Amino acid sequence: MRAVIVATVVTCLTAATARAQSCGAPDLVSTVPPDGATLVPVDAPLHAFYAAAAIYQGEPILLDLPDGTEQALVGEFDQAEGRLTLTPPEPMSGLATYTLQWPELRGTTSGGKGLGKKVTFTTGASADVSPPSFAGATTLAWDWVRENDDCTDKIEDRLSFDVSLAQASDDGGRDSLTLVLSQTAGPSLATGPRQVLLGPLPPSGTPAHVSLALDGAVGHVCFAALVRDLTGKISGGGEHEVCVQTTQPPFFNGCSMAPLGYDERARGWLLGALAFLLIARRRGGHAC
Amino acid sequence: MDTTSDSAHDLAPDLGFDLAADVAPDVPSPSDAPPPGTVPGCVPTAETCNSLDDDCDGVVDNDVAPIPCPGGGYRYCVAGRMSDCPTRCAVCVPGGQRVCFISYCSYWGLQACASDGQSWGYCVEQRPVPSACSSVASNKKHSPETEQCCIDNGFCCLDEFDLNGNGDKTEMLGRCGDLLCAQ
Repeated sequence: MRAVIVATVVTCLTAATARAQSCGAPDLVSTVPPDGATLVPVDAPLHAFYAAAAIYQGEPILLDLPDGTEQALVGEFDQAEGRLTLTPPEPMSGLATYTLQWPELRGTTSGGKGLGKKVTFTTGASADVSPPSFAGATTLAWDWVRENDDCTDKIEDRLSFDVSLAQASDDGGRDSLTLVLSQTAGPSLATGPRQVLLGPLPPSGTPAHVSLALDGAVGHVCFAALVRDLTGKISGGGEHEVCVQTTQPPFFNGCSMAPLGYDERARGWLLGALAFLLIARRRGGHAC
Repeated sequence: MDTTSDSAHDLAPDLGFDLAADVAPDVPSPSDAPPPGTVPGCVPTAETCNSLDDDCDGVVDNDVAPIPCPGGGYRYCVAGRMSDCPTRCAVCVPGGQRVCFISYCSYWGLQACASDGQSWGYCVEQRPVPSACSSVASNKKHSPETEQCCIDNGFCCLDEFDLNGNGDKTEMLGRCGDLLCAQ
Protein backbone atom coordinates (compact mmCIF):
# COMPACT_ATOMS: atom_id res chain seq x y z
CA MET A 1 0.00 0.00 0.00
CA ARG A 2 2.75 2.41 0.96
CA ALA A 3 4.58 1.71 -2.30
CA VAL A 4 1.46 2.54 -4.26
CA ILE A 5 1.06 5.82 -2.45
CA VAL A 6 4.68 6.77 -2.93
CA ALA A 7 4.48 5.88 -6.60
CA THR A 8 1.38 8.02 -6.98
CA VAL A 9 3.03 10.98 -5.30
CA VAL A 10 6.19 10.64 -7.39
CA THR A 11 4.16 10.38 -10.58
CA CYS A 12 2.23 13.50 -9.73
CA LEU A 13 5.31 15.49 -8.86
CA THR A 14 6.99 14.39 -12.05
CA ALA A 15 3.97 15.46 -14.04
CA ALA A 16 4.14 18.83 -12.34
CA THR A 17 7.45 19.63 -13.92
CA ALA A 18 7.24 17.72 -17.20
CA ARG A 19 6.58 19.54 -20.43
CA ALA A 20 5.79 18.02 -23.77
CA GLN A 21 8.80 17.58 -26.00
CA SER A 22 6.98 19.36 -28.80
CA CYS A 23 6.75 22.52 -26.72
CA GLY A 24 8.62 25.32 -28.44
CA ALA A 25 10.23 23.02 -30.99
CA PRO A 26 11.76 24.96 -33.89
CA ASP A 27 9.87 22.91 -36.45
CA LEU A 28 9.29 23.74 -40.05
CA VAL A 29 5.63 24.73 -40.23
CA SER A 30 4.97 25.12 -43.94
CA THR A 31 6.61 25.75 -47.28
CA VAL A 32 5.81 27.87 -50.30
CA PRO A 33 5.67 26.22 -52.74
CA PRO A 34 4.26 23.20 -50.90
CA ASP A 35 5.13 19.61 -51.66
CA GLY A 36 3.67 18.60 -55.01
CA ALA A 37 3.24 22.13 -56.30
CA THR A 38 3.11 22.72 -60.03
CA LEU A 39 3.62 25.75 -62.26
CA VAL A 40 6.30 27.14 -59.97
CA PRO A 41 7.88 30.10 -61.76
CA VAL A 42 11.40 29.48 -62.96
CA ASP A 43 12.61 32.71 -61.37
CA ALA A 44 11.03 32.08 -57.98
CA PRO A 45 12.72 32.32 -54.63
CA LEU A 46 11.54 29.44 -52.45
CA HIS A 47 10.33 29.85 -48.88
CA ALA A 48 9.95 27.78 -45.72
CA PHE A 49 8.24 29.03 -42.59
CA TYR A 50 9.53 27.87 -39.23
CA ALA A 51 8.16 28.11 -35.69
CA ALA A 52 8.94 31.23 -33.72
CA ALA A 53 11.76 29.74 -31.70
CA ALA A 54 13.83 28.72 -34.73
CA ILE A 55 17.19 30.27 -35.45
CA TYR A 56 19.15 29.84 -38.66
CA GLN A 57 22.87 29.26 -38.47
CA GLY A 58 23.68 28.63 -42.09
CA GLU A 59 22.46 25.05 -42.27
CA PRO A 60 22.61 23.91 -45.91
CA ILE A 61 19.51 23.69 -48.04
CA LEU A 62 19.79 20.81 -50.47
CA LEU A 63 18.41 21.33 -53.95
CA ASP A 64 18.22 18.32 -56.25
CA LEU A 65 18.38 19.39 -59.87
CA PRO A 66 16.54 17.62 -62.69
CA ASP A 67 19.84 16.13 -63.93
CA GLY A 68 20.31 14.34 -60.63
CA THR A 69 23.00 16.55 -59.16
CA GLU A 70 22.61 18.07 -55.75
CA GLN A 71 23.47 21.59 -54.65
CA ALA A 72 24.05 22.58 -51.04
CA LEU A 73 22.96 26.19 -50.75
CA VAL A 74 22.69 28.76 -48.02
CA GLY A 75 19.47 30.65 -47.51
CA GLU A 76 18.49 33.94 -45.98
CA PHE A 77 16.47 33.97 -42.78
CA ASP A 78 13.89 36.57 -41.87
CA GLN A 79 13.49 36.22 -38.12
CA ALA A 80 10.39 38.40 -37.91
CA GLU A 81 8.50 36.23 -40.37
CA GLY A 82 10.24 32.98 -39.45
CA ARG A 83 10.90 32.63 -43.17
CA LEU A 84 13.91 30.92 -44.68
CA THR A 85 14.33 31.90 -48.31
CA LEU A 86 16.37 30.11 -50.94
CA THR A 87 17.08 31.95 -54.14
CA PRO A 88 18.43 29.44 -56.68
CA PRO A 89 21.74 30.71 -58.05
CA GLU A 90 20.39 30.60 -61.57
CA PRO A 91 16.89 30.36 -63.01
CA MET A 92 15.38 26.92 -62.82
CA SER A 93 14.61 24.90 -65.91
CA GLY A 94 11.08 25.07 -67.23
CA LEU A 95 8.73 22.13 -66.83
CA ALA A 96 11.21 20.26 -64.67
CA THR A 97 10.97 18.53 -61.31
CA TYR A 98 13.06 19.69 -58.37
CA THR A 99 13.42 18.33 -54.87
CA LEU A 100 14.31 20.57 -51.99
CA GLN A 101 15.40 19.45 -48.53
CA TRP A 102 14.67 22.21 -46.03
CA PRO A 103 17.01 21.90 -43.03
CA GLU A 104 16.32 21.07 -39.41
CA LEU A 105 16.98 24.19 -37.37
CA ARG A 106 17.94 24.71 -33.77
CA GLY A 107 15.81 26.77 -31.43
CA THR A 108 16.24 29.39 -28.78
CA THR A 109 14.22 27.54 -26.17
CA SER A 110 15.19 23.92 -26.73
CA GLY A 111 18.42 22.07 -27.20
CA GLY A 112 17.61 19.79 -30.09
CA LYS A 113 16.79 20.38 -33.70
CA GLY A 114 13.26 20.72 -34.99
CA LEU A 115 11.72 19.20 -38.06
CA GLY A 116 12.79 19.95 -41.59
CA LYS A 117 11.01 18.80 -44.71
CA LYS A 118 11.64 17.47 -48.19
CA VAL A 119 9.41 18.92 -50.89
CA THR A 120 9.14 18.14 -54.57
CA PHE A 121 7.71 20.58 -57.07
CA THR A 122 7.47 21.11 -60.79
CA THR A 123 8.27 24.34 -62.51
CA GLY A 124 6.08 26.05 -65.05
CA ALA A 125 7.17 27.26 -68.43
CA SER A 126 7.99 30.84 -67.60
CA ALA A 127 8.79 33.48 -65.06
CA ASP A 128 6.24 35.17 -62.82
CA VAL A 129 5.45 38.53 -64.33
CA SER A 130 2.00 39.46 -63.05
CA PRO A 131 0.83 40.17 -59.54
CA PRO A 132 -1.68 37.85 -57.92
CA SER A 133 -5.36 38.54 -58.25
CA PHE A 134 -7.24 38.45 -54.96
CA ALA A 135 -10.21 40.34 -53.58
CA GLY A 136 -9.43 39.82 -49.90
CA ALA A 137 -11.41 38.50 -46.96
CA THR A 138 -15.12 37.85 -47.40
CA THR A 139 -16.66 36.60 -44.16
CA LEU A 140 -15.65 36.00 -40.55
CA ALA A 141 -16.78 33.51 -37.93
CA TRP A 142 -15.52 33.07 -34.40
CA ASP A 143 -15.68 30.61 -31.55
CA TRP A 144 -14.25 30.04 -28.11
CA VAL A 145 -11.75 27.23 -27.61
CA ARG A 146 -10.18 25.83 -24.45
CA GLU A 147 -7.28 23.47 -24.91
CA ASN A 148 -4.52 22.16 -22.76
CA ASP A 149 -1.26 23.75 -23.79
CA ASP A 150 1.87 21.64 -24.30
CA CYS A 151 4.12 24.29 -22.82
CA THR A 152 2.21 25.59 -19.84
CA ASP A 153 0.41 22.37 -18.90
CA LYS A 154 -2.73 24.37 -18.30
CA ILE A 155 -5.88 25.05 -20.21
CA GLU A 156 -5.53 28.14 -22.33
CA ASP A 157 -8.56 30.11 -23.43
CA ARG A 158 -8.53 31.48 -26.94
CA LEU A 159 -10.97 32.92 -29.42
CA SER A 160 -10.59 31.27 -32.78
CA PHE A 161 -11.46 33.03 -36.00
CA ASP A 162 -12.21 31.57 -39.42
CA VAL A 163 -11.67 34.11 -42.16
CA SER A 164 -13.19 33.14 -45.49
CA LEU A 165 -11.26 34.31 -48.49
CA ALA A 166 -12.07 35.28 -52.04
CA GLN A 167 -10.70 33.27 -54.94
CA ALA A 168 -7.07 33.90 -55.70
CA SER A 169 -4.98 33.28 -58.78
CA ASP A 170 -1.54 34.04 -60.08
CA ASP A 171 0.51 33.32 -63.17
CA GLY A 172 2.94 31.55 -60.87
CA GLY A 173 0.21 29.18 -59.73
CA ARG A 174 -2.08 29.36 -56.75
CA ASP A 175 0.21 27.02 -54.82
CA SER A 176 2.87 29.68 -54.87
CA LEU A 177 0.86 32.25 -52.96
CA THR A 178 1.46 33.28 -49.37
CA LEU A 179 -1.41 34.62 -47.30
CA VAL A 180 -0.80 37.70 -45.17
CA LEU A 181 -3.64 38.04 -42.67
CA SER A 182 -3.77 41.11 -40.49
CA GLN A 183 -5.93 42.02 -37.52
CA THR A 184 -7.14 45.51 -38.26
CA ALA A 185 -9.29 46.15 -35.20
CA GLY A 186 -9.23 44.77 -31.69
CA PRO A 187 -8.70 45.77 -28.09
CA SER A 188 -4.95 45.32 -28.01
CA LEU A 189 -3.99 47.07 -31.23
CA ALA A 190 -1.97 50.02 -30.06
CA THR A 191 -0.83 51.40 -33.38
CA GLY A 192 -1.56 49.89 -36.78
CA PRO A 193 -2.92 46.57 -38.01
CA ARG A 194 -1.04 43.55 -36.74
CA GLN A 195 0.01 40.61 -38.91
CA VAL A 196 -1.41 37.51 -37.26
CA LEU A 197 -0.91 34.84 -39.90
CA LEU A 198 1.67 34.34 -42.61
CA GLY A 199 1.85 31.13 -44.57
CA PRO A 200 0.54 29.19 -47.53
CA LEU A 201 -2.82 30.25 -48.87
CA PRO A 202 -5.36 27.65 -47.68
CA PRO A 203 -7.03 25.48 -50.31
CA SER A 204 -9.83 27.13 -52.20
CA GLY A 205 -12.96 27.24 -50.06
CA THR A 206 -11.08 26.66 -46.83
CA PRO A 207 -11.01 29.59 -44.43
CA ALA A 208 -7.85 30.87 -42.84
CA HIS A 209 -7.78 30.02 -39.17
CA VAL A 210 -6.22 32.06 -36.40
CA SER A 211 -6.51 31.93 -32.61
CA LEU A 212 -6.01 34.94 -30.39
CA ALA A 213 -5.65 35.41 -26.67
CA LEU A 214 -8.69 36.96 -25.03
CA ASP A 215 -7.10 40.29 -24.27
CA GLY A 216 -6.66 40.86 -27.98
CA ALA A 217 -9.85 39.31 -29.22
CA VAL A 218 -12.84 40.36 -27.14
CA GLY A 219 -14.83 43.24 -28.59
CA HIS A 220 -14.90 44.70 -32.07
CA VAL A 221 -12.45 42.59 -34.08
CA CYS A 222 -11.65 42.94 -37.77
CA PHE A 223 -9.30 41.27 -40.23
CA ALA A 224 -8.05 41.98 -43.73
CA ALA A 225 -6.08 39.77 -46.06
CA LEU A 226 -3.83 39.98 -49.08
CA VAL A 227 -1.57 37.50 -50.84
CA ARG A 228 1.91 37.71 -52.24
CA ASP A 229 3.56 35.52 -54.80
CA LEU A 230 6.98 33.91 -54.67
CA THR A 231 8.57 36.83 -56.45
CA GLY A 232 7.24 39.27 -53.89
CA LYS A 233 4.41 40.88 -55.82
CA ILE A 234 1.35 41.53 -53.71
CA SER A 235 -2.32 41.50 -54.52
CA GLY A 236 -5.01 43.95 -53.68
CA GLY A 237 -7.84 43.04 -51.36
CA GLY A 238 -6.31 44.49 -48.22
CA GLU A 239 -8.90 47.23 -48.25
CA HIS A 240 -11.70 44.73 -47.58
CA GLU A 241 -12.24 44.29 -43.85
CA VAL A 242 -14.40 41.65 -42.25
CA CYS A 243 -15.52 42.35 -38.71
CA VAL A 244 -17.30 40.72 -35.83
CA GLN A 245 -18.32 41.66 -32.31
CA THR A 246 -17.06 39.03 -29.88
CA THR A 247 -18.00 38.67 -26.25
CA GLN A 248 -16.22 37.43 -23.19
CA PRO A 249 -17.03 33.74 -22.73
CA PRO A 250 -18.77 32.77 -19.50
CA PHE A 251 -15.70 31.76 -17.57
CA PHE A 252 -16.92 30.54 -14.23
CA ASN A 253 -14.02 28.61 -12.81
CA GLY A 254 -16.12 26.98 -10.16
CA CYS A 255 -15.21 23.99 -8.06
CA SER A 256 -15.95 21.45 -10.76
CA MET A 257 -14.40 23.25 -13.73
CA ALA A 258 -11.42 25.14 -12.39
CA PRO A 259 -8.69 25.05 -15.05
CA LEU A 260 -6.10 23.35 -12.91
CA GLY A 261 -2.53 23.21 -14.02
CA TYR A 262 -0.39 20.22 -13.25
CA ASP A 263 1.11 22.00 -10.28
CA GLU A 264 -2.28 22.42 -8.67
CA ARG A 265 -3.45 18.99 -9.63
CA ALA A 266 -0.27 17.52 -8.24
CA ARG A 267 -0.80 19.39 -5.02
CA GLY A 268 -4.31 18.01 -4.78
CA TRP A 269 -3.16 14.46 -5.38
CA LEU A 270 -0.41 14.91 -2.85
CA LEU A 271 -2.79 16.11 -0.15
CA GLY A 272 -5.18 13.29 -0.92
CA ALA A 273 -2.41 10.74 -0.80
CA LEU A 274 -1.13 12.04 2.52
CA ALA A 275 -4.61 11.98 4.01
CA PHE A 276 -5.03 8.42 2.83
CA LEU A 277 -1.68 7.50 4.32
CA LEU A 278 -2.63 8.98 7.69
CA ILE A 279 -5.93 7.12 7.74
CA ALA A 280 -4.22 3.90 6.75
CA ARG A 281 -1.66 4.31 9.50
CA ARG A 282 -4.28 5.02 12.14
CA ARG A 283 -6.21 1.94 11.16
CA GLY A 284 -3.06 -0.10 11.20
CA GLY A 285 -1.96 1.26 14.55
CA HIS A 286 1.35 2.61 13.28
CA ALA A 287 2.96 5.78 14.56
CA CYS A 288 5.32 8.19 12.69
CA MET B 1 -14.37 44.86 -62.38
CA ASP B 2 -11.06 43.37 -61.40
CA THR B 3 -10.07 45.38 -58.39
CA THR B 4 -6.74 43.70 -57.93
CA SER B 5 -5.11 43.47 -61.26
CA ASP B 6 -2.95 46.55 -61.00
CA SER B 7 -2.33 46.70 -57.31
CA ALA B 8 0.87 44.80 -57.01
CA HIS B 9 4.34 45.71 -55.95
CA ASP B 10 7.56 43.90 -55.65
CA LEU B 11 8.90 43.32 -52.20
CA ALA B 12 12.42 43.40 -50.95
CA PRO B 13 15.88 42.36 -52.01
CA ASP B 14 15.75 39.14 -50.04
CA LEU B 15 12.86 38.06 -52.16
CA GLY B 16 15.06 38.45 -55.14
CA PHE B 17 13.82 41.70 -56.60
CA ASP B 18 14.80 45.30 -56.75
CA LEU B 19 12.77 46.84 -54.01
CA ALA B 20 14.24 50.28 -54.44
CA ALA B 21 12.78 50.58 -57.86
CA ASP B 22 9.40 49.57 -56.60
CA VAL B 23 9.02 51.55 -53.41
CA ALA B 24 9.93 54.87 -54.90
CA PRO B 25 7.47 57.65 -54.22
CA ASP B 26 4.31 56.72 -55.95
CA VAL B 27 3.81 59.70 -58.21
CA PRO B 28 1.70 58.94 -61.21
CA SER B 29 3.41 59.49 -64.50
CA PRO B 30 1.41 60.63 -67.47
CA SER B 31 1.33 57.07 -68.72
CA ASP B 32 0.02 55.85 -65.35
CA ALA B 33 -2.78 58.37 -65.16
CA PRO B 34 -6.23 56.88 -65.31
CA PRO B 35 -8.20 57.37 -68.44
CA PRO B 36 -10.08 60.61 -68.34
CA GLY B 37 -13.49 60.13 -66.86
CA THR B 38 -12.68 56.96 -64.94
CA VAL B 39 -14.00 58.58 -61.80
CA PRO B 40 -15.99 61.66 -62.74
CA GLY B 41 -14.96 64.73 -60.80
CA CYS B 42 -11.95 63.04 -59.21
CA VAL B 43 -8.67 64.94 -59.22
CA PRO B 44 -5.84 62.38 -59.31
CA THR B 45 -3.06 62.57 -56.78
CA ALA B 46 -0.52 60.04 -55.60
CA GLU B 47 -2.14 56.99 -54.07
CA THR B 48 -1.54 56.75 -50.35
CA CYS B 49 -2.73 54.32 -47.71
CA ASN B 50 -5.89 56.07 -46.54
CA SER B 51 -8.92 54.10 -47.79
CA LEU B 52 -9.39 56.66 -50.56
CA ASP B 53 -9.05 56.41 -54.31
CA ASP B 54 -6.41 59.11 -54.56
CA ASP B 55 -5.41 58.31 -58.13
CA CYS B 56 -8.98 58.12 -59.37
CA ASP B 57 -8.66 54.69 -60.96
CA GLY B 58 -11.66 53.31 -59.13
CA VAL B 59 -9.64 51.27 -56.63
CA VAL B 60 -8.68 52.43 -53.15
CA ASP B 61 -5.17 52.01 -51.79
CA ASN B 62 -3.76 50.22 -54.80
CA ASP B 63 -0.18 50.93 -55.75
CA VAL B 64 0.87 51.44 -52.14
CA ALA B 65 4.16 49.63 -51.81
CA PRO B 66 5.07 47.48 -48.80
CA ILE B 67 7.64 49.01 -46.51
CA PRO B 68 10.52 46.78 -45.40
CA CYS B 69 11.03 46.58 -41.65
CA PRO B 70 14.43 46.86 -39.98
CA GLY B 71 14.04 43.55 -38.18
CA GLY B 72 12.57 41.67 -41.14
CA GLY B 73 9.21 41.43 -42.81
CA TYR B 74 7.15 44.21 -44.29
CA ARG B 75 4.46 46.70 -43.47
CA TYR B 76 1.45 46.45 -45.76
CA CYS B 77 -1.42 48.75 -46.54
CA VAL B 78 -4.52 47.11 -45.08
CA ALA B 79 -7.80 48.73 -44.18
CA GLY B 80 -6.43 52.17 -44.92
CA ARG B 81 -3.40 51.97 -42.65
CA MET B 82 0.08 50.55 -42.84
CA SER B 83 0.39 47.47 -40.66
CA ASP B 84 2.93 47.25 -37.88
CA CYS B 85 6.15 45.42 -38.55
CA PRO B 86 5.72 41.72 -37.85
CA THR B 87 7.20 40.16 -34.74
CA ARG B 88 8.14 36.55 -34.35
CA CYS B 89 5.65 36.09 -31.54
CA ALA B 90 2.81 37.95 -29.83
CA VAL B 91 3.93 37.93 -26.18
CA CYS B 92 6.84 35.54 -25.78
CA VAL B 93 8.73 32.89 -27.71
CA PRO B 94 6.82 29.60 -27.41
CA GLY B 95 8.37 27.28 -24.87
CA GLY B 96 10.53 29.96 -23.31
CA GLN B 97 10.77 30.22 -19.55
CA ARG B 98 11.25 33.12 -17.19
CA VAL B 99 11.78 33.33 -13.46
CA CYS B 100 8.84 34.48 -11.39
CA PHE B 101 8.47 34.98 -7.65
CA ILE B 102 6.06 33.27 -5.33
CA SER B 103 5.16 34.34 -1.83
CA TYR B 104 5.76 31.06 -0.04
CA CYS B 105 8.12 28.12 0.33
CA SER B 106 11.11 28.64 -1.97
CA TYR B 107 10.02 32.13 -3.15
CA TRP B 108 11.31 31.23 -6.62
CA GLY B 109 9.38 29.92 -9.59
CA LEU B 110 9.36 29.35 -13.32
CA GLN B 111 6.77 30.43 -15.83
CA ALA B 112 6.52 28.93 -19.33
CA CYS B 113 5.35 30.63 -22.49
CA ALA B 114 2.39 29.00 -24.21
CA SER B 115 2.91 27.04 -27.40
CA ASP B 116 1.34 29.79 -29.49
CA GLY B 117 3.41 32.51 -27.83
CA GLN B 118 0.33 34.43 -26.72
CA SER B 119 0.42 34.07 -22.95
CA TRP B 120 2.38 32.89 -19.94
CA GLY B 121 1.42 29.91 -17.84
CA TYR B 122 1.28 29.59 -14.08
CA CYS B 123 4.21 30.50 -11.90
CA VAL B 124 5.33 27.06 -10.72
CA GLU B 125 7.57 26.81 -7.67
CA GLN B 126 11.09 25.70 -8.42
CA ARG B 127 13.24 23.71 -6.00
CA PRO B 128 16.03 23.96 -5.40
CA VAL B 129 16.50 27.65 -5.99
CA PRO B 130 19.61 28.22 -8.13
CA SER B 131 22.61 28.38 -5.81
CA ALA B 132 23.46 31.96 -6.73
CA CYS B 133 20.18 33.16 -5.25
CA SER B 134 19.27 30.50 -2.74
CA SER B 135 20.45 32.45 0.30
CA VAL B 136 18.86 35.68 -0.88
CA ALA B 137 15.54 33.96 -1.51
CA SER B 138 15.77 32.24 1.85
CA ASN B 139 16.56 35.41 3.77
CA LYS B 140 14.71 38.10 1.84
CA LYS B 141 11.85 35.87 0.69
CA HIS B 142 9.33 37.49 -1.67
CA SER B 143 11.13 40.78 -2.11
CA PRO B 144 12.82 43.15 -4.55
CA GLU B 145 16.14 41.77 -3.38
CA THR B 146 15.26 38.35 -4.69
CA GLU B 147 14.28 39.79 -8.05
CA GLN B 148 17.49 41.81 -8.16
CA CYS B 149 19.49 38.68 -7.48
CA CYS B 150 17.68 37.01 -10.36
CA ILE B 151 18.60 39.82 -12.70
CA ASP B 152 22.18 40.07 -11.48
CA ASN B 153 22.80 36.41 -12.09
CA GLY B 154 21.82 36.29 -15.70
CA PHE B 155 18.26 34.99 -15.54
CA CYS B 156 15.28 36.38 -17.38
CA CYS B 157 13.03 37.63 -14.61
CA LEU B 158 9.48 38.90 -14.26
CA ASP B 159 9.70 42.50 -13.03
CA GLU B 160 7.17 41.90 -10.29
CA PHE B 161 8.67 44.58 -8.06
CA ASP B 162 9.06 47.16 -10.83
CA LEU B 163 12.77 47.52 -10.26
CA ASN B 164 13.14 49.84 -13.22
CA GLY B 165 10.40 52.11 -11.94
CA ASN B 166 8.39 52.30 -15.13
CA GLY B 167 5.17 51.10 -13.57
CA ASP B 168 5.06 47.90 -15.60
CA LYS B 169 5.07 44.79 -13.43
CA THR B 170 4.38 42.41 -16.28
CA GLU B 171 7.55 42.98 -18.27
CA MET B 172 10.76 40.99 -18.11
CA LEU B 173 14.15 42.18 -17.00
CA GLY B 174 17.53 40.55 -17.15
CA ARG B 175 18.89 38.26 -19.81
CA CYS B 176 15.75 37.82 -21.89
CA GLY B 177 17.01 38.07 -25.44
CA ASP B 178 15.81 34.64 -26.50
CA LEU B 179 12.33 35.28 -25.13
CA LEU B 180 11.61 38.60 -26.73
CA CYS B 181 9.30 38.78 -29.72
CA ALA B 182 10.66 41.83 -31.46
CA GLN B 183 14.06 41.61 -33.09
